[in-house]
Amino acid sequence: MTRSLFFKFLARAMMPILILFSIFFLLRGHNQPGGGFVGGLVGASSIVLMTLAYGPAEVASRLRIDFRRAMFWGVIVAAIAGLLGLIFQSSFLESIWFKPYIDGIGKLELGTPALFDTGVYIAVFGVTVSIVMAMADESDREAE
Amino acid sequence: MLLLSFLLIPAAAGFLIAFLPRNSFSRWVIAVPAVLFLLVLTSGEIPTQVISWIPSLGVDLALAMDGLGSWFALIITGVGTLVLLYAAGYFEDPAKYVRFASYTLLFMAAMLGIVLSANLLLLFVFWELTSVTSYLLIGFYHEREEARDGARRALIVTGGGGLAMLAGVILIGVTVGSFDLETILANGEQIKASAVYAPAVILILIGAFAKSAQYPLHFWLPGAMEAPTPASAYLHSATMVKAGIFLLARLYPAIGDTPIFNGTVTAVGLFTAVYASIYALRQSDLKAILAYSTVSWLGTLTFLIGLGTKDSIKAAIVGVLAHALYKGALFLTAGSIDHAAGTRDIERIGGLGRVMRFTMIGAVIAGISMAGIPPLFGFLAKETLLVGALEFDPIITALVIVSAIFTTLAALRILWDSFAGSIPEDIPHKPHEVSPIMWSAPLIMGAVTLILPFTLTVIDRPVSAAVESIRRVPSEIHLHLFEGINTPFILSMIAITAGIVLFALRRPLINLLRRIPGLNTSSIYDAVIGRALPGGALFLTDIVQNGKLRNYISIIVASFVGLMLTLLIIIDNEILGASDLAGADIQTALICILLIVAALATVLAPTRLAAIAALGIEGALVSLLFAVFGAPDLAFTQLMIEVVSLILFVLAFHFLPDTFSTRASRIRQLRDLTLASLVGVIMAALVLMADGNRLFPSISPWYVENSIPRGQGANIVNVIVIDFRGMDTQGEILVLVIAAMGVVGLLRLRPVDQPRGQYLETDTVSNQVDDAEPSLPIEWLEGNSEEEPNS
Repeated sequence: MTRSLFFKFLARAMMPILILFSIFFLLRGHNQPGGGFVGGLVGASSIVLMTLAYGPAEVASRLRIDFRRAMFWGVIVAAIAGLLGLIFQSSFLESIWFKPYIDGIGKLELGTPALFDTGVYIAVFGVTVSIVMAMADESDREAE
Repeated sequence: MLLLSFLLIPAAAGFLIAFLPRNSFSRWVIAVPAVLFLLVLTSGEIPTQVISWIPSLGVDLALAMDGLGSWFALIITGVGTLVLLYAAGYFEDPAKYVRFASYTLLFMAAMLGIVLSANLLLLFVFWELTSVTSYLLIGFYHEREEARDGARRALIVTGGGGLAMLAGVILIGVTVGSFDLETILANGEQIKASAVYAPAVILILIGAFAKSAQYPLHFWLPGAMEAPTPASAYLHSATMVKAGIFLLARLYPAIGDTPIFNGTVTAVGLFTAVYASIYALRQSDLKAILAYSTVSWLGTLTFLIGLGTKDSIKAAIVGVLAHALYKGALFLTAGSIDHAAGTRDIERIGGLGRVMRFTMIGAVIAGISMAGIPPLFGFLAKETLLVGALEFDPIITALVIVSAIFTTLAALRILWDSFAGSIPEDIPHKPHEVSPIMWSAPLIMGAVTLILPFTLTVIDRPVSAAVESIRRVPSEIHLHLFEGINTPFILSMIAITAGIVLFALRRPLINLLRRIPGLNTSSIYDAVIGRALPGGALFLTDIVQNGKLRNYISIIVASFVGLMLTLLIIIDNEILGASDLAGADIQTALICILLIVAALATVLAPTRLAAIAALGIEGALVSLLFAVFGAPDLAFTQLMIEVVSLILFVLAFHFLPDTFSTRASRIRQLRDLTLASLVGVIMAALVLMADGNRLFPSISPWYVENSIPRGQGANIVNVIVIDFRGMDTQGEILVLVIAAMGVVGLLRLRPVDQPRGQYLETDTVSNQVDDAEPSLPIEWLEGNSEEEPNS
């Protein structure tokens, strides 16, 4: 696989922007277009870009996150959001809202749906990166 | 007394000991059934206690202990205590003992659940739980092929019977409108008058017959003898196999007292009783003899329920206890003999009475009881049985006597050939007496068998209560050991004498019996479950899942086309209303034309890269279409998915030759073209139909109205995905994770040095690079985008 310097630079420059953008998507999702699913995909695309630019081996060695493990955490986080509903409300996934008013920031709207969406975000992120990395790894092996 | 604790205590104990250190201290677990026994003994009848469980399905944790339940609960806990005591000596390895005790206690909880349930669906749950625990116990020595086979056989027959029973139970529950046992028992007339009565009865009988090993479903029980002997004594003789009898007795007021019920039950029971008592003699393994004689006695009990008179029900109730005691003791003796002599083959042992005195005493008492010789409890059971039978045909009486003669013969044979004579030279082990723990358990059962006939007033009350709960009329019963020289007594004596005479002639008799055909139905099971089913599955898998992805897709698509075409032909054409297409603007039309062009480009592209690029354009255009119709969420998600799958395509294809070097044959091209066009046409037709025929009001307005008040979010799609339909999403991300695991696993499974495309040895074209297909289910990614709810 050719690794062009320009592409490497571009991928590096894009990565923080894409990650920020993905979190932005996750957070705004409740009221405007966005959400955990698409957020996770955008976030994953940053790692995918890096993988294409630098090759899976280098990305895997530099990256401290094990995405194969992360995707399970996504499911667990979503399940915890559901269990909170079961414990503190009457049924699984029933939403709980907590809206504190903090000086200087304003009214925060925290709820278990946001936590659930975070779980979706982590799961989609992990799944996409895991698959692309595994495929890229395979292509790399083939090239050698 | 909370009835639920009767189930929770053994279940909790069963789980707990599995996690505690395994040493000789584990044996104290026998205190659990012992305490339960005393609790049942002292608590008497307990009215229904209900804890709501799944109210929407009519399933409640409703438990009650009436006379029948209490009678069975006493046997379950009492025999359970003795079996756990015996097992403490039988298993020398504490780890094995703990495993056995754990399974046994779980079984005990399930079995108590059956007899205490006051809700039919709850009863079914416990019913299947006993099948599962029985499976675990039969497969206890799971490293042995026979044990695994026996366990599977028992599970398929009893568990499958349980499913038939569930269907019957549901039919009854729907007829009455409740699964509550009291309600069902009180509405017997309504059930019998309904149209579903006959199918319901037959389904329930299949379940009961499978569990209680009635012909032709009896063959699993001899196979279950692979279980450790204490388990055979407990589950496959004293308790679990009587669950079928219990069910018949339990439901008697609701479904009994009709020609179809009583006729079937009597006939099947009687046939089983005679058949198995004769078949038992063909065996030479002690446990096999005991197994067939158990089947025979179960047949007798079934037949007694079928007769349905006060005397016959009484005989069945007494017979359950008598059999649990003597057969339990004999099974434990068989285990001891196996332990001491190294074999259970009755033709290779003998003279064990010289060394195993205490074991012999227990066994002889039990054996005499089984033979029905006075004054033991078994004699009383046989007397009541004959009293019950005598009210009917002389043929029935004659058959009962035949079965009694052979049972006597089997009992004498077991006792004589094991304990009398001299020890053979070629015995595998030099026999020795077993530990006191092991001989005490059968001895206690023997002692009860011996003492009970003289203290019959003790069980008068419980037997009356049990008969009352079956017959639903007050029944005052007094048992007497000896009622004078009357017909039953004379017949009983005839049976015993004939048994002794035949015993003297047993060698030629057994040889003769072994020569006649066995009528054994297990060969049918072997042919169907053992060969036809796996054979058929292999055959079908070879066709449908041959490892080539393009074939998978063809089959899926073809099935879809087939099903949909059938559906479209079946349903009324009037539903096919043409919807209004005139509203499409120029913008949409343009996108649609471009979509068609891109699709054609994908198919006609000369190189792979061009095909992927065209497919990407196709995806982008679909996203655009979503955006035009006001679904920005969907459009954006679709676009992201297109990007990621494009990358995956490139990664997957980059090592393949750039051009399609070999074209598919004309016929295949034509086939694919037809299939693809059909899918397109059908999908278009479905969309038009769905749009033109709104049978139900749309649910979209509800989401629009409730998104902010209930979901506290303005983005309806997001509120639906993470709140209103959160459970779907939870499942979806789990599926995603599983799919990712599959992809990663598949890619990593291939050894580095193995060339791609050589997974399948049968794939003759695998060396042609063009035919090698990516082992990557890309479809799931794209397929998932369709599951995104539309706004």
